[in-house]
Amino acid sequence: MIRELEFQLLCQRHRDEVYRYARGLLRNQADAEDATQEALLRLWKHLPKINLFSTRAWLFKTTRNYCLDLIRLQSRGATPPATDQDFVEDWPDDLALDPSAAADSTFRLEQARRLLLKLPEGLRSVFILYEVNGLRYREIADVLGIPMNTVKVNLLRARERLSRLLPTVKEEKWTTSCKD
Amino acid sequence: MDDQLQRLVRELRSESCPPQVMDRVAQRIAREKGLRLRHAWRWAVALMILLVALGAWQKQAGRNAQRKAAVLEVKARADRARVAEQTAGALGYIGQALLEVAAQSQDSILKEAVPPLREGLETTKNKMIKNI
Repeated sequence: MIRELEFQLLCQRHRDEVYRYARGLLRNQADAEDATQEALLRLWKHLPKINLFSTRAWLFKTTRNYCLDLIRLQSRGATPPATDQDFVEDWPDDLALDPSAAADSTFRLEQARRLLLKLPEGLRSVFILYEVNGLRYREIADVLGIPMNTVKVNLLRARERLSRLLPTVKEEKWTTSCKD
Repeated sequence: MDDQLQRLVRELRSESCPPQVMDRVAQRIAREKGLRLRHAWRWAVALMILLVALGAWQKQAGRNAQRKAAVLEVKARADRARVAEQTAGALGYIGQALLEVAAQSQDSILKEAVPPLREGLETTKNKMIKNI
């Protein structure tokens, strides 16, 4: 009974963060949902053994491992993961031209996600964990298994790259869609 | 961080986990629990059957042991009686033999040892009389 309650509380607190992280790592929404589901189920299974103070880091670590395994599996399979060029080509021009669609927050989110997918996984992870999910440098270093200085450097690089990408790639679409 | 980047972060932060994910998690957990319960029930039934079988086997083994003990007791009693009888017979035989030996010894003492002894005593008595 206590375990269920504890699990529910942890799910309520961390599910969005885990989903955001998975969504940032994977291209597909269904895959991100699967990753979130799997991470939460693993949390349920290992809950008695997990230190409550490090649950958040444990969840992100589990999600990352699952996502990387999935990416590796997909890269070995028949459909290789799309390259950056594919993303640029996939850019929804028709939606951008349509003002109603551009005003839609889903569209803006999709744009943000596509921009993020242009970063390498290491930079992307650091950016999502720090900027989107609000983890501290030490926590990120723990999740990714890298030194804290590397986390800081990667975060700077990620910001620089995104800043460079934002005005160059479809600048007008981003600004138009953001002005609602 | 520039304005556009902040907007991007804001967009990404607005994303939330779809409710169907939690539904699926709850379903999976419920299914796992059900499976575990079913497994537990099966184990309990198997354990009960095993215990009943063990109990029956022990009861049967106890009965067999009692029967065997009774048979052994009768046999042991018969053996003891036979040994006692045989011992009595052997002792009687030994007694008889000893009596016979004693009778023979008496005869041989009277016939072989007493006459020379008597003769020796006579000779000694005569020599003493002569010397006196």
